[in-house]
Amino acid sequence: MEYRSLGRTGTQVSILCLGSVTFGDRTSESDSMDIIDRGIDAGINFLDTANVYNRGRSEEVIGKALRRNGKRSHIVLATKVHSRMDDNDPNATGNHRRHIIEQCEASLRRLQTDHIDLYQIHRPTSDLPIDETLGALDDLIRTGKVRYIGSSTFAAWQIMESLWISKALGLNRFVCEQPPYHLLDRRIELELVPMAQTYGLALIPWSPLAGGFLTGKYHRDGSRPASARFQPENEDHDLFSDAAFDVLDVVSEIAKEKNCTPSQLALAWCAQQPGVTSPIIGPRTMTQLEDNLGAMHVRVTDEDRTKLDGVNPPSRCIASYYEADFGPHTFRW
Amino acid sequence: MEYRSLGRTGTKVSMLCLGCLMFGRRTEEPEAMDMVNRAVDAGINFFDTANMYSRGVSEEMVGAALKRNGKRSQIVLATKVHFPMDDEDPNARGNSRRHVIEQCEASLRRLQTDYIDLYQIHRPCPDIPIDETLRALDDLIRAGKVRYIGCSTFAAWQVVESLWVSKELRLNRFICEQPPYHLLDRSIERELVPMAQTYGLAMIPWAPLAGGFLTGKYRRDEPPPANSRYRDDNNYAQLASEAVFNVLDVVTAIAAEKGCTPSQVALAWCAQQPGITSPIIGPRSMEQLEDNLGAVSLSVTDSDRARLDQVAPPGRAITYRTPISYQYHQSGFGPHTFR
Repeated sequence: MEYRSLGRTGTQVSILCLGSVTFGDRTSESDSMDIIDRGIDAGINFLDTANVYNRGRSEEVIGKALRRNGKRSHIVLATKVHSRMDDNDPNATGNHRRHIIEQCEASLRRLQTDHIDLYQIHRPTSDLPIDETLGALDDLIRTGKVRYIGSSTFAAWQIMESLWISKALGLNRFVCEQPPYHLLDRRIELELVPMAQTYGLALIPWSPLAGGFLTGKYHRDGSRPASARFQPENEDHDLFSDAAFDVLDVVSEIAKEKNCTPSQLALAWCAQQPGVTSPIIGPRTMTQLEDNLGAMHVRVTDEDRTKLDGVNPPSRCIASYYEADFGPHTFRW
Repeated sequence: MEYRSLGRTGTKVSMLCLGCLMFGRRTEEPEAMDMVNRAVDAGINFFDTANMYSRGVSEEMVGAALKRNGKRSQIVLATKVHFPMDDEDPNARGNSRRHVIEQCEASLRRLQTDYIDLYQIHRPCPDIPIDETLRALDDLIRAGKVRYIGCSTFAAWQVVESLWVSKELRLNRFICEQPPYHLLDRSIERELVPMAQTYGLAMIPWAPLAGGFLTGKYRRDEPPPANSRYRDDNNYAQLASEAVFNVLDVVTAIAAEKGCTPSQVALAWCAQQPGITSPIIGPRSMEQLEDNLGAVSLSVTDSDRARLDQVAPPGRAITYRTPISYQYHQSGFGPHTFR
């Protein structure tokens, strides 16, 4: 396993990060725990979850697994806050101090640990200034509950603004951004990637397989396995367009030449793009995990990249993943 | 004519800005001077040129026209610096203090004026830190040679970084950004537009007609017409994709319903998008100018916008190499060497 520095921190993380959005839901507790153990055996030391994943269930399963295998101290454990945790409480969501501190403590309990390695703001909000959020996060770092802080699906300019505020107010800064990034949505290449390279932020892409589309399990004629996430009633118009299938054709063709699976090729491509630290895989089953782990040995050449650029050029988007509240913002600090 | 504040400055500019790229390139001096007068008569008070447009000739023509009509004091006059002015001299380009100050003084001479209203950095330069550039620009403002400073084709994060540096070093800040923006490339809607709205920056889009593609002069399965920009351009086939013509079909249909030209629809759409101050028109001839001026009175409805969103989705560029988006992608967005 290759390890890379988490941005400018020096903390080493595996080039694949194990995501856990299905844990405790579509993946049973015992399967989830086995997947975690197998991931760690293969050298993965970077686990990502969120309070909102199955409203705490994913965190609970991870906490239990790390308690069972006793590996907590070797793991860089990441979770997130922002999304709604209670439908009836207007304060049980958002990026405000009250909710962040309350949820950080709830996450610590669910994860059965006394610190979170990377605590991330799951999405930007334009209704409160970033100094409010950074002030709360800084207090969590200073009290030892959190080691590093990061953002997810922020605009490059919003991160730039947050770095400015951190510096102006003497607060800890974001060290990592978690953007959507895969062969069907390359928009982060225009602004986010050069910004992150300039300021030494880690980039840990979510959805490197475009929600499973790049595994090749979906076909142009509409056929797909019954277990697949997208069925005709919930399929995304962009994701199942001709242009998306054109990308998949090239991915499958290159994979065939390399004797690997399309998902391995798509993952390896993502992990080897400039500025990327660790793509986050989200296996639902042990079979999917084994497949994903194989991506570590796939080498993507300049020629492969050129072919892939031909069907979805740098910084362009075929299926839209990169949507969040990018402003305009109501308040400045 | 409608006038809008140039960002947070309070200075009012017309909702169309007259771009002068063609002056001295494909427009001869007498016609250029007539166009300047016609635009001023129609209420345009905002002119944009650059030192590199025909290596100074465009600025000279604008200067001569304003000298002749005596309207300099009513015009918000914008020019730019960055691109090479001498192929042999490695210092005759870029965003360094040395070049910025030297070219500002050269532009003042060519424009026959003692101040520039809006002095813009034509492109970002990842190889020098922005404080170098901002300090030089600030000195020009304090010396009275420049009123406001702006940037062109910067990434949103580069603009925020510059605001940070201006605040930290107590320098004058950019008040305006000039991005490429038209129906074939809506990339700026994702980051730049909300950032500019948040910080009160004016946005004055260049190429609102996508280098002429949105005029309707280029047609499916036909070679570019004589006298058009892409007549002898080998990239034409690549630029003129099916997706481009799909957008053009909708623009043309809306224009037919309104009894106007496609370019007027495309311009009015651009001028009425959120966050936009003044699109920059770049007429080559008096006829094109007259057409463009017609966009001022055109109203684009929500239903028009919805139809256009179908073929040209918000926040996206629809083809790889539209003439403009290619350059947007190629601008120096970093990574940067120094902080």
